[in-house]
Amino acid sequence: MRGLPSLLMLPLMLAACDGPLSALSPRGPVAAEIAWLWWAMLAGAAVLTVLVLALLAMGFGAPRPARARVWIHGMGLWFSVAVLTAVLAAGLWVGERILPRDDGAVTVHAHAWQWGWTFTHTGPDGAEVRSDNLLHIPAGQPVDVLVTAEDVIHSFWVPQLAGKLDAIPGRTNRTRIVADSPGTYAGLCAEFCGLGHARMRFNVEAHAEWPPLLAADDADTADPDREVRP
Amino acid sequence: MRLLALFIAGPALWAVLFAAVYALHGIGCAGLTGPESLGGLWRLVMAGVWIAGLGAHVALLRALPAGRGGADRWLPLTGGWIGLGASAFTLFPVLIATSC
Repeated sequence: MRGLPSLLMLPLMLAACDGPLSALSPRGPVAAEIAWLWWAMLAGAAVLTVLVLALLAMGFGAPRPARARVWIHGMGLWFSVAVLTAVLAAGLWVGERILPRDDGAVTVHAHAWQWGWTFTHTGPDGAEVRSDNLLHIPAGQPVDVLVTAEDVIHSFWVPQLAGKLDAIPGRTNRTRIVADSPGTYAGLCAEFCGLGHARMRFNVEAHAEWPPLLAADDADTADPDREVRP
Repeated sequence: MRLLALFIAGPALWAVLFAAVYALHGIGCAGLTGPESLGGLWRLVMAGVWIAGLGAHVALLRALPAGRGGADRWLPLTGGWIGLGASAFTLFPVLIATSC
């Protein structure tokens, strides 16, 4: 009966694996690589947990002979090192594959402030187009996002398209996002940045046509002197 | 106390080596020199420090006193091997991973 609450919680926990802010329901190749790595790390952690629980179980009950060569050297040392090495190799492999490359990808800018985002991309006429809390990208092709910050450290994260990247005042960081198909994807600030952090959400609109023709309400021409805070 | 110092000598050397390579990586990525802009020279510097550190670990293992046997011997040796393994395992990515 003790396992019943956990069993009842299972559908709720599994439901968290899907949704607009779940990294486990990727909508692009970069996010798919990260989701794969997450599952690989979960598998590695599960294997080691089973080992530890087995050792714990052996500690109960009547004393029994346990060979140090098997349990300390074999399982405790080499088995754990093998699992951790596999996970590290997977991390290096995925880390290299999701890096931005010099391959002519579309570049957009994301500027974070307390508490919102200002995004900039190049419009059809070549002018800079700015939009608050709505990032426009092309669908089906890589996009490099240059991430900056106005005041404190924030973090740019679109879970279904890519991993997190910190927005640090005085630095420009670059991350790559890819959306497989046109649509709207949810993003958020992933670094606590003050009282308004929780409402520092934004959307990413992936367009089939690029650059998109936007309605006047959706964007305004960039003005460097414009006050970005609401 | 001496036995404890000998035991943590290997892990302490790992900590120093890790901090040194991490600092070099940070300096390179800060743009002071550019890790890849000097024809990969910065990566060679980091790798050189790492390999020199591995050499220091081996020298430490060879220099550990034999003691009177038993724990006096195997405890420092275990610490030495843990340090060497940790340095090899945690810092080998400087050879292959893309910097910054």
